[in-house]
Amino acid sequence: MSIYGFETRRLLKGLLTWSAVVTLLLVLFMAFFPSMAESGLADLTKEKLDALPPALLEAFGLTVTTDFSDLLQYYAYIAQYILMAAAIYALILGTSALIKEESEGTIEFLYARPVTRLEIATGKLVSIVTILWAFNLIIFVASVLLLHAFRDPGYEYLPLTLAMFSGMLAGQMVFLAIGFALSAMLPRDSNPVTIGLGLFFVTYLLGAIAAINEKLRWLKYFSPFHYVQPTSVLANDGTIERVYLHIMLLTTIAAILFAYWRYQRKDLLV
Amino acid sequence: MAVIQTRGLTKYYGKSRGIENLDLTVEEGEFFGFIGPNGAGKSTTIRTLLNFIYPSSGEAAIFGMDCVKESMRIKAVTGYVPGEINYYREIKVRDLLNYAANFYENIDRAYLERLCQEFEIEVDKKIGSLSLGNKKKVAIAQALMHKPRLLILDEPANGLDPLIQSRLFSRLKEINQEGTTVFLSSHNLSEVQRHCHRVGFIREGRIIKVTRVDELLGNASRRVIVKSKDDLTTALHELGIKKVEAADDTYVFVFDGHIDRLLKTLVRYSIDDLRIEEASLEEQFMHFYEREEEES
Repeated sequence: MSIYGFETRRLLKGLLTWSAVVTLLLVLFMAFFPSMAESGLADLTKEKLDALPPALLEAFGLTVTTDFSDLLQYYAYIAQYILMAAAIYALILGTSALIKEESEGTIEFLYARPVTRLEIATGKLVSIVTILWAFNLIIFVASVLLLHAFRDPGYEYLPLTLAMFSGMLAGQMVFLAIGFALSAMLPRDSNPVTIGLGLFFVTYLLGAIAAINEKLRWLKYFSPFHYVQPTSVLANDGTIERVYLHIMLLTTIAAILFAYWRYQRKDLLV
Repeated sequence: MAVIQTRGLTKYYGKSRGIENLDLTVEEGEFFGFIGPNGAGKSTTIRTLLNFIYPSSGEAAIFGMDCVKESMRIKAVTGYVPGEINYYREIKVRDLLNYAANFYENIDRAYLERLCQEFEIEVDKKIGSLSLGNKKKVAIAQALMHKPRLLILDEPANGLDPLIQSRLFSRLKEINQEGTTVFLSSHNLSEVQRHCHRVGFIREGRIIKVTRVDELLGNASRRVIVKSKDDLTTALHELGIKKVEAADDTYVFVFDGHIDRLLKTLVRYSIDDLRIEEASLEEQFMHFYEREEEES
């Protein structure tokens, strides 16, 4: 078995756990939709929400026009929380990728084999990308099944759902790549979970501040989460701003190249 | 042909010293002992040879291949038993060995099976459930499976029971006779004396001496603690012992002559208590050191 096969198999358990928990959340959230749509709960929520300042609404991915009785708008609101979980998962996958071998000492087994560091890094990168994409595929299928179940006849949801998912996946790739870069440079006793959580919430907070404070708008560039927030993707008819797409592509490539460069020179201490 | 050759090999971790200006040559077919106290730089040397860490300066080659640039080719013909065995805990031993085997061409499966039997490796257990000694046996099997031309062992006997230890060393001797060069790092002088042809002493990051084992004088040093109301000064002088710690009728000294001579000398006195133990490496080292200085 190759490094890729071995790594992917080791990550399978985590993938199943994350998928199961996120799918369960999705089902629970979506189960509220019929009562939202029918019993006027949406109107009630709307009244309460309207009382909040628009800036604060925006920080939660809402606008004054958000209509919870619309299936896709409701779904997009929920999808933000799915995206949070996915972003954190991507960060943890990336940050653990290389560093775990060092903190657990298993690198002494792996790097005693006739392999180059390039092969180790590549095997692991391709493996975490596979896992992340598989995770997204599972959540996508679950979402489509749920949307299908709750839709009114003739309600079109697939193109916009696909657009939201493409955006979310792009955002996760940024987090994965940044985590991977960190993994190639952090000392061996770093904790990938703490770093993943910390990094996500710091960037998220910057994005949220940018939404609230007009003068700090530029902070939004530090939050990949806000580039691809499902509610805004939906509001923009399934498109993501070109500048965000460019930033994401460049950051992902730059972070991965940096990781390779750094890992090549790293002292692997056990 | 030199199997291992280092020139001015130096490694600093930030400001702290790993190894300094290490010049070391191990010839093909040798059973080479690399000995020094903990923290002397043994593992640093090995990790630099295997490119886990990069040298700060100097260079190292194995079979003439550069340890930094040609590490992959070096590892195809080198086996490594690490000092601490940290393998994938949740994996079964069999799967780990199979994973390792995948990295080499033409693994002799029957040979691997024989190794597992010889070292009584429980292949269906998970790595995480094994004791240190049992993990070490797995480490030995994975290091030998591809019939390496160079075997590097970092304190291999640690945690092994005596039976497995002797089996390990007889296997090492066998593969050494078949032509594999063995590089054994250890802090146990008598272990090295028993098995190695040549020995390199490392201390505080520097090689202090490389010598043939049969040129090392006498037996392994022992630490002797004698309690007696008699005055033993003359007796100890007779035995050629110069450095004695004495207090409250108790004499402590390091002795490296024949035990028989010690006992026959002491028997003339009234002895209240006598303990003879293996001297710590540091003591053996100091003793060895002083003697070297006397001779030169």
